[in-house]
Amino acid sequence: MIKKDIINAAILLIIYFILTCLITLINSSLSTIGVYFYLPGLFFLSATLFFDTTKSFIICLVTGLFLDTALETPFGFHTIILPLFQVIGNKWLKYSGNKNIYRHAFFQFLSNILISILLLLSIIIFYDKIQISISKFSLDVILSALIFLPVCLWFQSLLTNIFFEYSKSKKN
Amino acid sequence: MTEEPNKRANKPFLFLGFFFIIWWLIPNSIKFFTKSTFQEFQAPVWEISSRVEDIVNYWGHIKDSKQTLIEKGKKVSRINSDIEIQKIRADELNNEINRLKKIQDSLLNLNKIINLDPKIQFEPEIARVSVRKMSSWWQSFTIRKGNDHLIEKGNGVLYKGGILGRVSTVNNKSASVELLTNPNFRIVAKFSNDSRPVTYQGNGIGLGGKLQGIVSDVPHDIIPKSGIPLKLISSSLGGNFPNGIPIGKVYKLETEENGLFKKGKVVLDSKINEILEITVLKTKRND
Repeated sequence: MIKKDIINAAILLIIYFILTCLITLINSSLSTIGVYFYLPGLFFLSATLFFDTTKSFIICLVTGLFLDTALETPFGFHTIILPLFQVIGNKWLKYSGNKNIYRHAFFQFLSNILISILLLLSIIIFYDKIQISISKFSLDVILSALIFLPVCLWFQSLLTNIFFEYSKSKKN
Repeated sequence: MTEEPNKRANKPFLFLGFFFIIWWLIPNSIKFFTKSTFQEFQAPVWEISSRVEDIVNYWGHIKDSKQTLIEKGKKVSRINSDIEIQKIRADELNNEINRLKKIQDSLLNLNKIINLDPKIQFEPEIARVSVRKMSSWWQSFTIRKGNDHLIEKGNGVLYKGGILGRVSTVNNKSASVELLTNPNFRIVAKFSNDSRPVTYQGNGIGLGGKLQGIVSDVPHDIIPKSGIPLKLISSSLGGNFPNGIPIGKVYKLETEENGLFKKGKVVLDSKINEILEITVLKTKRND
């Protein structure tokens, strides 16, 4: 069972990596029109849904390192933020008893906006060397929010299909 | 009785707090090593995607219609006729090269006599762009060449329109280029037709991907004429770029806070967002 757990955690990590790479490549193509999608909110709740706290914490930590390198954010930002939101998400799931996929998506949607604001604040406060255009950043956050819900719902259903048998066997 | 479940509930937060402290205490060298490892891990993905894009473009052109092929044929014949004209000029240009080489040799001899530092020479290395990362907080390109082509951190990078940036990190088979829009990008520049040095600094990316820079330390007598922008070019004083490479255009200058100099916005070429190929200037010292 432990071996199966590790394999499944590795699969989720690989899926996260692939999605990060896809978003980066899409952003690379969209740079011609000055649009940049920032979607870190996709990468923490699924781990909490399918794995125990320790494994989902490690998945979020490694994904955070991967995101920091891929998105060129201050190194350590996502490494800290994703595990933090994983812990908050875990508590939210535990105490509210939410099993509705739309509620999960909405929670991630709000988290995505919050992470964006935290990134902006951390850059303004701690990284005075980085010049950030608030108008461009706000537009990117709005555009990311517009595409977030459909992408999140698709991603959730994809993961549910992949890990359906696994989560069923875990419950039994 | 209720304390035990509370303790268990707070355990993840305690663990998270512990992790924050650990992360804060980790030496920068270890963080740098981790970052490089992740960059090396990602590099093949960007390279493969870039090569796939090249193949897709190739196959896309294979399916071109007859009309497109005729248009392209016309363009090729125009280029060929231009090559013929250039060939006629080849002898004239060869003579000019020989004359310049003689001047260069005599200058080198003079430098040796008066013990001047050898002038930096550049060796071009053409590389293909694999990923463009144009977020509002950081702008960089990943290229498909790195240590294996002797590219070094700090090397200047050019594109067909002028200066693009400088190499910020070098991996084994890839490198990251920090664009001239980043505020850490600061070089000595000058205006065309004026030899006095000014400072160019990146100023981020605006709405619609508008690339921006700032020029400062501009003498008061430099005034842009209405409608005719001032051309900002590189100066050899900076060391990373040869003299006279275009940076951008300045339409307006205003007095700095200290009143001694002027500053203004530099409008950069929007085509930077579409670049597929760049030239890295590797330094070659003539001893």
